[in-house]
Amino acid sequence: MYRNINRKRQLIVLFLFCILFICLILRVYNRQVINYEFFKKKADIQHRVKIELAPERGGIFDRNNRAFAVDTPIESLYAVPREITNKEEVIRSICELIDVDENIVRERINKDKAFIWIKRGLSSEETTRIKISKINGLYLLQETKRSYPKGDLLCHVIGFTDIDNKGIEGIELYYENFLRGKYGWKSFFRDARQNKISSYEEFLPAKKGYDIILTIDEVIQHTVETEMRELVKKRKPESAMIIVMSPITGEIYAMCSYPSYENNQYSKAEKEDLKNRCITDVYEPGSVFKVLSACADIDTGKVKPDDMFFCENGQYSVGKRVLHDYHGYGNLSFSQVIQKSSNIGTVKATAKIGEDDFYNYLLNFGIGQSTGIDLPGEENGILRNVRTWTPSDMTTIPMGQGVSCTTLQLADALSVVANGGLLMQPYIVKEIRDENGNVIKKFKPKIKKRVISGKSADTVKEILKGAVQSGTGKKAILNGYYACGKTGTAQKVIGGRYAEGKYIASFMGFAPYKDPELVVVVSVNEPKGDYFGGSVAAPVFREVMQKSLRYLEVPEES
Amino acid sequence: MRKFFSISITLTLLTLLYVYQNVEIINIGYGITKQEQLLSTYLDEHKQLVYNLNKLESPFTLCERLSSESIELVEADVQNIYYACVKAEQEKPLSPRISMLDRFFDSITLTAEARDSK
Repeated sequence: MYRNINRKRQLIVLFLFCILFICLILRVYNRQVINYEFFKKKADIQHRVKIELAPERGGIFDRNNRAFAVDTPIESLYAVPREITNKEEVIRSICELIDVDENIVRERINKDKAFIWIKRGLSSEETTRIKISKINGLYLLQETKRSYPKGDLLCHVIGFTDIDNKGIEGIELYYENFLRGKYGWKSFFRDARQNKISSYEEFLPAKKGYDIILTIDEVIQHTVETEMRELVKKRKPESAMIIVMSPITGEIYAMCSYPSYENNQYSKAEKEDLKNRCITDVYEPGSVFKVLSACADIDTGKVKPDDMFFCENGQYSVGKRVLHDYHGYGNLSFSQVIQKSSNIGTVKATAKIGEDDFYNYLLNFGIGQSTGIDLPGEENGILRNVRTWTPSDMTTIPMGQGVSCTTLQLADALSVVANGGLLMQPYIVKEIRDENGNVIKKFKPKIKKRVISGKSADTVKEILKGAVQSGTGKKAILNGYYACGKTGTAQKVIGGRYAEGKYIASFMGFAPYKDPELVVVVSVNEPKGDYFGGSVAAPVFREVMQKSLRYLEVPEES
Repeated sequence: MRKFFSISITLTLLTLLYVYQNVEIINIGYGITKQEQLLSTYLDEHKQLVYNLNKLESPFTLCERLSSESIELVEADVQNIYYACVKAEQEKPLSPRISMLDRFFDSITLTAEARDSK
């Protein structure tokens, strides 16, 4: 009997255990099978993290691989307000540790959010202080910042990026799609202490942006900018532009405008300082435009260098206008008309070819149209349709009034004379490369069209050589090379009228005479004191051209 | 009974091995994370150094440095510049040594040789 009671008790306990075990199995089945998705999602939220991997932005380099724009690592400070209990104390600590507005910090920390920025782009000292402080609720996030190691060198061409590393000006903007790169992602587990577990990581690496190799030469650019600083110190102009270009290929070796700014601190610059005036500023070029008139006159065959023109001793009434020359001349050959920059002689010579032919030549030179250079913000300039011309336009446009263009258009037009008659496409990017140095895209010299014949170009070249040797451009004479060029002193148009005492002094030229290597155009807006192109711009041309030719080891001409 | 115990023990050992393996994987994962952080730090330092180097090589920085030490660069006269060039030694063409045996086998076997394209 005793044995039976024991057996009964054993069976009851076994039965209870079986019930418990079945309940446990059912519970596990409910968690692991029926509600699998729900609990997996919950677990993933706790343990699984997916983050975006920001790509490194491509660099910008000169033609000799010297860096102009690179990415550097920076730390940015963010807070999790929900984790901060003593908000006022934290706000005070933050303001002591880093340079930030207390009101902004207070406003952000008092928000009920999981993530707020305190300050992006901390300095290294600020980062160290934050790391040492170990304040709860404050975290550092690593980002990259665009940095420009050359300071303000080539600032207008390079441009700059915003806080999110997106290009908003210059090459940074124009080639944003190439520089940007592609985002990647990383998915990994975190343990209970929020430490990352790399073992079960899945990722797609971010793809670095492509590098841009410019046609710019850092040394020539520096030469140009040094001369610009000297010019600004001496002449205190409103603005100034200098371009150095290859007439054979269309490559831009240097491009500089004043006023300028520092890329690393572009937010402190005035809006006017950000303009790349070599392509945005449109102005009446004045006497430098006579080069184009001379090309048109010679190429039609209706004017020859030895043709004589009577320059009315400096005063010529034509229609309702009275044209003036700075010096009164009698009879001059066409060569001398250009070399001595006689307005009257130029107008008489161009009258021989007629307005239709003259207009077509100007169109072929690219006047009134953008050059198509790979930079944002280029202006077209103004050349009115010949159908709207009045008779007085043929007394103004040949001498560079009643028409407007940019400094780059002048450089491109002068290249036609230097290279034997071809209009080249100016460009500033040579190559695009990936992070392994493989060339993705290569830009080659492109001939837009033939504007004048080679013979005409040689004739005009000879005339321009004389303009430097014995004409108004004597201050552009080089050592060891023959320069060809033209001076210009254009009265400025303000409010639709010619302003008294305000001029744009220019010089455009190329060298060496025999096989031109470089075209240099200098334009100075409202120089103080002396305002003639021959005395303000020509000396700058001389310094830039002399040093650039020496640097490029161009053999001297005998 | 013996069979049951031996199977249970084997299963338990295998389970323990599996758990140990996973723990080791996670430990290695922690090690990888540390190395990744170190690598990231070194890469960042490298980027910063490259930036500093480029800044130091900037023409304006160099000019300021030179002027602060009162050093003035002067352009040399063309007459004072001499170019030195060394004539390259003429390389003797290598002649391949082919043994008698190789010649015999070459004569009796068909070969398809790629031609040099110039």
